[in-house]
Amino acid sequence: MVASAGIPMYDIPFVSIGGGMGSFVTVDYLRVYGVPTSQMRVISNIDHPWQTYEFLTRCSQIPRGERIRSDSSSRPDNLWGFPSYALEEAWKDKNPAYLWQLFTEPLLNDYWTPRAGTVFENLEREAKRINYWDMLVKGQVRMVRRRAGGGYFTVVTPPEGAAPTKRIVFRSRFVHIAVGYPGLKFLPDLQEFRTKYSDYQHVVNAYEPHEQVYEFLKTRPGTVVIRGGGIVASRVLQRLFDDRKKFGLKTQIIHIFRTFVTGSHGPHVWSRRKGGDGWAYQGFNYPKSVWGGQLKAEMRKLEGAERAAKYKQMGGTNTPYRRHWQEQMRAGREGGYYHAVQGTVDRVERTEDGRLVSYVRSSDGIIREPVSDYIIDCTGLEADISEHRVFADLLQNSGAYRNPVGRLEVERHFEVKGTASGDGALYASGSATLGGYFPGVDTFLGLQIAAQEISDDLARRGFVRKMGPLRSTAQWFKWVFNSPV
Amino acid sequence: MTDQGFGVVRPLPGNGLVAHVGGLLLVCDAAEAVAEDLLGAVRETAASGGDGRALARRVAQVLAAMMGEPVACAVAGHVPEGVAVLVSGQASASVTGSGGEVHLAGRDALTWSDRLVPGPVTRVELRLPDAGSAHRFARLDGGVISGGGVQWDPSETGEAAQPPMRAAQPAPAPVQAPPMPSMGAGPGPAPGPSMAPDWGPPPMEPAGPPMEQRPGPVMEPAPAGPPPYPLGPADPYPPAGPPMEQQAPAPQGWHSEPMPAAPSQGPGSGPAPAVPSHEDVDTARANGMGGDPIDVHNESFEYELLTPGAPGPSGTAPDMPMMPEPEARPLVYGVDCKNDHFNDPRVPYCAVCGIALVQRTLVPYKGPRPPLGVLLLDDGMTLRLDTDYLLGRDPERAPEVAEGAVRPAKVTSPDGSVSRRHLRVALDGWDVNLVDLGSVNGTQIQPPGDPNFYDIPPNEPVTIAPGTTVRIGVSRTMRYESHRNN
Repeated sequence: MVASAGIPMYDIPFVSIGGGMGSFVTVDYLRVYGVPTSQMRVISNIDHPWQTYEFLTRCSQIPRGERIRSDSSSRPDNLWGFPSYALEEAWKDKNPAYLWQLFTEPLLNDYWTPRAGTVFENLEREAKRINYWDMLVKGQVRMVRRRAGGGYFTVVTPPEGAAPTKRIVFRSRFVHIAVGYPGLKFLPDLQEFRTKYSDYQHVVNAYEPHEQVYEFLKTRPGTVVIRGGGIVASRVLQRLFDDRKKFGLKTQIIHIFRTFVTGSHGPHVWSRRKGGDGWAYQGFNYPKSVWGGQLKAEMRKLEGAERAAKYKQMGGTNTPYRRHWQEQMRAGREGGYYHAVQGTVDRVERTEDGRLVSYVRSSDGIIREPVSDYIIDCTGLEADISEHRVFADLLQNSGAYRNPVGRLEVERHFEVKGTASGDGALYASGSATLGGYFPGVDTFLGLQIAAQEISDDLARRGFVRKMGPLRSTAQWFKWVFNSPV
Repeated sequence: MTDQGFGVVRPLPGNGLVAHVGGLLLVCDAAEAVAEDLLGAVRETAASGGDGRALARRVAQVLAAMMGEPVACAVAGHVPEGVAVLVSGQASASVTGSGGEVHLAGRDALTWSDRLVPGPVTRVELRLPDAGSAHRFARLDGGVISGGGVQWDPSETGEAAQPPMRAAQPAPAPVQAPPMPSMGAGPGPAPGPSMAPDWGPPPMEPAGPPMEQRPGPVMEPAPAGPPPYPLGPADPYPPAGPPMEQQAPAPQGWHSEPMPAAPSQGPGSGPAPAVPSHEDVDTARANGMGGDPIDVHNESFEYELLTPGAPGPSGTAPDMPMMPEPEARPLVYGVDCKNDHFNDPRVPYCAVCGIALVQRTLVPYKGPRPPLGVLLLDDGMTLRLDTDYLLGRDPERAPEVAEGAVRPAKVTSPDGSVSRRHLRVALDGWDVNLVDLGSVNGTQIQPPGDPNFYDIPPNEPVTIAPGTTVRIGVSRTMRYESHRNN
């Protein structure tokens, strides 16, 4: 029917939608497992898999030369995780101190993390090795629908002029969706400010380009309000402190935490998280037992409300403890230029002289009205999954439903529940699946674990050969020598 | 609050809010914070003698201010030629008019749906998803109650329903309309040639005059040139305000898409600044500038926008909203995010709400251009890029400033290396261009990430990217920064 309508249709057994880190990691696994490029397509509107990730890290003050804040217990370009980034950087930089740091973390040293640039360069190398670009199809995915005879149709709008028709369709047995965050969600009061004053420069989100803030502060003393207590807030804060020192600036910083953590917290003595000065600290993005320990085992069995409760217990905004940055904050408090307060912001207005006044209400009833030159929103809210048209369509038309924390409910092997179609399967990985049986899905390691589960499931279904130790070792050597899979 | 004039209104049971004020109906989700604003819109519209069209317009403004959050609500009210209805979110409406029954569901629309159903209308029903059915004895002659919907039979009491509640019928509004001066003025109704013909007293000044005065023109120029793309068929933006009045001729011409870029709040597009003619807007980015430049040097001061009306180079920046922002922001091709915020088609995330733009098929259309970013001078002066600038030692006497085509920005340097008319910053579409005006010491740019400065040729536009540093003459520099840096 589709074909008779004049819409070109392509038969490709496995289609991955997204084209970011999630798609990359998944097709990387499958390539290593032995799937030829002709059997897979990645449909995306970005040119290389790390594009979005790089944009967001760069905006949030982690350019290529800076170290990312996540731990390095995995690497997305290498499914074996060995050699680690630390070994590689130690080798390349001829700097054994990295290794010393690894042995002494986290007691004597902070956790070691790789440079953003290292991550991107390795991704590029691996993408070339697996012929990633042979599989990439540029286009806008409109929807994925089940096909009557099993499998799925993926409807795509190709870039203008790239195809004779406005739509093309992929018919496939398996579809993988990894479209990432539907987007950010700027705080409502900040959105209001922007539209009301048509001012996009003074109230900014940490995930969008906002260099003007730092540049302005170099020209004259100013005050900045930071909102949010997560990783990005810590990085923005560090940039402000660094600039202050480097250029001898007089920047004043007011930091507003909605939840102000004053000390260790948690339900009982074995499950505590360190905190203080407003922050909740964590050595890793996630409790380490998520990856293979008791938390993973426990979460795997939980359903519904219990699972949601567990997520809530381990969740919440938190930030890795970093010694350097802690010292900067201490100096800031002592020097009287860093002020952390608890409160929620009711609204932001412009003052007569063009500055910004925030109306902040604290839980103790005190109302503060700090005046600043800039406001940086570091809350990093994410939009609801239904804000993405593909997910919205799945939820509405294809039997998919939400998990206890509101995202897409997936099986332990990352098949989207309720969407099976004949002998086909629809998988999803990445942040859209947060809240499932496996926590930590929106990290590098999480993506890899999802990719592994998906590959193994595809092996069970006969789409690809099972991966045994011998073949895996052989593939690892190919990785080492950068020879094609 | 009786049925006089506008038939019988029956509430449907449910958990939302139902309001009936002077023949204007509202049904909305009570849990929404915006319910209060919506009720306010109904009351104010009734108080000022507005009709269904005015109501829908006000409600559209309220919804636009919600940044695209889906709000379940529906409103309806008379217009001279029938009934105007607007629905949003989970709400739905059905109207039986001369052309049969019309169904509208908020879910089908990206923003909201509205319709003008030509009369005579025999039945109107607004519902929230949980609405029950009406009891035949239930009536809501006026006021606000809990409920899930409302059913309105304009014909039931026998009265024609259509032009019922005109000036002569002040009754409905009294609810909260102390300030209805003109109400009593029966003669009012047939005031202007153009405005809502015989609909109540001339709508109150505040909202009305500027646009109402413009009977004819509003519509035709509106289409803003022939957009090559189909979207926003008739008029991408004019809707913000004007459409209502002289819409009469084309009953169906009452669009919903309008107000794409939340123009409602935009000082530039709201009702006030009688938008001259759209062509002007389109071509000239004439912001009616001209006027006192700001002396950056003497005032150690920053500064936001320099505008004519601005309080001169005092030590403080003028308040933006006050600023006579360019009344006519130039129109450029851009795209809406899924929450209907107008954006540069090249950016990955919406500049207003943050949602990813890449997930939709983007259909460009012409809309008022938001600020492109800022120029930050080395002394802290900040120039918002919403218009062209002329930088120099003595810019205010330049002819282009006198014509009002550009805003002057005074930049001086102790070594005298800045020419009188040194550099023009010309905005073109979504790009920022520099044109060195044949200055003595020239202009140099340092692209982002490049350690070197490069001369730009005189009198030729050069497009710069965000993060570019510009050297004006020998010793002054500025940077171009933008949230659109992708």
